[in-house]
Amino acid sequence: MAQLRHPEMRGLIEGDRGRVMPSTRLAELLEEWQKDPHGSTSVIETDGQVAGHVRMGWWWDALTPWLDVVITPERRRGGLATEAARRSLAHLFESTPAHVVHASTPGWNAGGLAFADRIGFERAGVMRRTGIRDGRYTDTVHFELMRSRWEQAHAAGR
Amino acid sequence: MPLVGERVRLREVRPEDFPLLVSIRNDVDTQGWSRTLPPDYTLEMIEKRYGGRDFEYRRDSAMFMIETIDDDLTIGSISYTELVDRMEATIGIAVLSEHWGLGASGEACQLLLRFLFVELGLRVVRLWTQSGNVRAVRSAEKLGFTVAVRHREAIFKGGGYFDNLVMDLLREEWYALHPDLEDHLVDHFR
Repeated sequence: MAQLRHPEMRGLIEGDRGRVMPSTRLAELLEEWQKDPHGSTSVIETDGQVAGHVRMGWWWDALTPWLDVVITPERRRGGLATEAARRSLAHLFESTPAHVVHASTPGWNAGGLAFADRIGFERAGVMRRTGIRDGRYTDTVHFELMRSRWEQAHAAGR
Repeated sequence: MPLVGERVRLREVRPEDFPLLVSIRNDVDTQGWSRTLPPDYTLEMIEKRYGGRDFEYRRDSAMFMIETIDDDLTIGSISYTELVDRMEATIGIAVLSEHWGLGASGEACQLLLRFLFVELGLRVVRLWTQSGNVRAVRSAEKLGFTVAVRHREAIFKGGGYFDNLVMDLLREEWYALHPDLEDHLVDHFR
């Protein structure tokens, strides 16, 4: 919960649209995530402390699940997101009918954009004006990772 | 501003529309843009969904029936969902196939877009469609929409894969196509 309340997390929590979320709403959100029968939320823990969370969802279509990895600002650049993403992708491609995995991040999140590229995601496009931040409209960059690409990278021992 | 054009008008959903909404919902060929749903929706389900709505001031969606002006025929429905106040909404349309290609859908969309930009002051309107629906993509482009996101092979329908397309239309792009209208909304964020 403290992780979600971090000021630098604004815009990275699903559904916050870049706006401050009241604590009560955050608490509800956590409960909804835990109860979601068509998705999974896991806490990323390191040294006994919460360092982030990883979420997967397939409510609309098991063929096209989505992945969301969020790391607390103080814990970034430690390889945690990479490990969480790799494990989650392996789960989706090896244990579910996923044909392609989707992800998205705000256009201002340079770290998130670079991370998605590094993990092997390809850009699917940019949704314009998904929010307002620092007095400017922001966009959302959408990514996709096709099963064929993941299998190829996996076979090559990536 | 009544939602009335030259060929069609948009009006509220009435109980007598429910059978038509059931038939649109149960048409596997045309229902929705994505995952195929079983064509077993009943009149009772539709009644529950559209008949039991409460009066509310805060609204994030709306649905209208499309009616022809010449002969008062109800030919489909049009809606917006996921409204974010003064920012965005997503539109969707479903018209009986015998009324395709006659300009009714295009005019219905124009009426709704005008309402969303002129009355609700939105900055962007989106729609979702798929690459197999060439007619819908072409109609959206004619209205000014462009493809913002193309998710490859994200839709399996009719035994094959299609791309999922998210199309969007910015406020100023829409106004540029309607030089007869003047936009007085102050935009601080461009």
